[in-house]
Amino acid sequence: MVFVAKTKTPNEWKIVAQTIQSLVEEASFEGTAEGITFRAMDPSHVALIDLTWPNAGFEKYDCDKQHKLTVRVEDFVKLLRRAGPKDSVTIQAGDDDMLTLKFQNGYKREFQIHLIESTYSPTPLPKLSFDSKMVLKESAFEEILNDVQTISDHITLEATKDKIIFTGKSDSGSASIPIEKGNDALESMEVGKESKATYSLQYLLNIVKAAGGATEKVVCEYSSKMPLKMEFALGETGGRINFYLAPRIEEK
Amino acid sequence: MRVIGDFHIHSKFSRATSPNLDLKSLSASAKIKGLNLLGTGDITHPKWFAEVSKELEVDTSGFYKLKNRENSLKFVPTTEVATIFEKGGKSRKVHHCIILPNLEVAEQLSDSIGNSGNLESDGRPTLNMTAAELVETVKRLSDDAEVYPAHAWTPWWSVFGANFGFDSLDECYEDYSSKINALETGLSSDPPMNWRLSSLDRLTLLSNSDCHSAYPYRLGREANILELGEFDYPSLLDAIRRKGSSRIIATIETKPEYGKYHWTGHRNCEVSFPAEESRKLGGRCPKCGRKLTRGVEERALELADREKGFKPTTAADYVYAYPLQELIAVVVDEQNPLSKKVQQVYDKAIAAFGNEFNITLSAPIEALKEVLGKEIASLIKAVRDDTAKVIAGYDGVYGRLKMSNDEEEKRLPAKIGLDYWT
Repeated sequence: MVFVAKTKTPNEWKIVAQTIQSLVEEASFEGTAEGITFRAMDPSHVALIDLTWPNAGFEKYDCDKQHKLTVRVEDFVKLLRRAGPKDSVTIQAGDDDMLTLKFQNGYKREFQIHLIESTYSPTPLPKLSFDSKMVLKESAFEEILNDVQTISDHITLEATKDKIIFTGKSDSGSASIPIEKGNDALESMEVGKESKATYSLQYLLNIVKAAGGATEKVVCEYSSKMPLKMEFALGETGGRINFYLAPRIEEK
Repeated sequence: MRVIGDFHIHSKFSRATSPNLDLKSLSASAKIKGLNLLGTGDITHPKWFAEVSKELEVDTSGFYKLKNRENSLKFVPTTEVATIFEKGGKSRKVHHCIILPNLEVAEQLSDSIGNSGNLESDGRPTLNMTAAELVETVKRLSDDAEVYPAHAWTPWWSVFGANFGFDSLDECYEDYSSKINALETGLSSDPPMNWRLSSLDRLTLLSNSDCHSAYPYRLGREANILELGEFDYPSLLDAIRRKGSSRIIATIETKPEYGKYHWTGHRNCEVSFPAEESRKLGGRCPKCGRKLTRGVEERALELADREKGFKPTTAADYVYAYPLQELIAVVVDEQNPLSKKVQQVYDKAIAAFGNEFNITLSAPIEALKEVLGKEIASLIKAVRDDTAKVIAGYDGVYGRLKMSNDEEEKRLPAKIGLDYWT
């Protein structure tokens, strides 16, 4: 029984682990011959992360059968933090319920943590079709979220044919950031039907800060009062982090 | 005589209150609201006492009125105090409401409790004395005074509070328990929840606003409808003590879900749960693992000894009503109930119907439709009929009213997660 996955640098693993850490305490990675997948919802079932990391995205990948590798995310992140920016990272599991992490850049460092019993049940993906899709510059999107957060805990996305308006309001005031087609911050935009929905900024910011580090753009898809889907590329690995967030429906 | 009274308010001298909480603003808002009798609140605060003494005068009823003002709103001296004490090896923190017969007794009360706490620092002073000592002190000054538990179920500062409260009135007030004649149910509970405790049958349930500003959407948001033999202090006492012909005939209630502590939850993690779900979680936040703030619903169920739906024969009635500015804000899609858009509609409504309680409690729905439009009228009807939807408040977050006829609402459940789409 063998599972070995090696990357040139720790960057992708750090992004994956930090993204997962923003939602859950335990992570069950599933390793198959095709690559690694991970899917989980946060305990309140408001947000979902769906990761796919194909075998071609690794420098070395070997998996003889299906492996479920469940770790405490905090422990995993703590170990990954020890990896220097130029360290290669090899993650390995065998029959002994241990996960081995090897960092190498000149000399080798090896850590082992206990795999734990998974408490998560299978998580189905929400069945959705989207009326609006936009590709935003990641850094601009993060700025927009930070701007709106100065006023509100929530952000409303309102997409029309030629622009998307990000707004937030609270008792203290309001914020409005319209981005028109053609603006550098908005790479592309397709609106089949005008869409308006409100989402929690805390979730969005956590995920964009964590998952946005490996990509320059983020793909957002949603419909009125429906969940938002965001897609982040996992560097150059061909991997993807998809994030789903339920809408706030407290307004009328 | 029919009177609507709110006996638990605060002045601008309480912490975290609006600077508009002076007697003139309170009088103006009370008139708009439809209140006839108001507690002064904070009467042991020296500066507020001075303002009250200067601006009010006693009238023939024994109540107080604004000087040189005909048809003034009537005031009765009241306050809220916090007591902190140890009992049974635990720290106890309980808020109490006090109604006093006159300003002379109020002054004596300030003298008596002045050594137990700093009366100048807060309109609602914190006293280092037991609940029993407080009742003893008040009753020694005047047997015509009333002390009763404030917002009896809230988790942090109340007689039955999950964190620092008691399981019974007797434990809290000890030998003076029999001197307690009333209980304030608070925003997060309503009479039917309290009727499930047989030990509370002998108490008159009161509902007050505990307002921290004089705006009509705060003042009188919960209140008491009294039928008094005479509009005077002895009749008020009779109503509270259920003597003679005076009675509290009904309390005006928001739905308990509207209150800030109805469900169990954790504000920082934005999670909340009804009692049943909270118990399954073992009282721990599923997001951060910390202890959840136990809500009033869960706590009241814990102490209940009767099935849901029981009504004691001695119980007064209750009616549901919501602050009209908040109802309008929901319909016109404004977050701020004081926004211009809301105020325009509100002013029109008051001009047409005289005061807010006329609108929320009694005006015919057809008449409301004509003046305020179908949507607002329908929402008022839904509140009266108890079919309006409210997202339950938790851990300091107010509950929120929702449009009952909103198409989206029909499509989506109130508490929605991604499971809905899987």
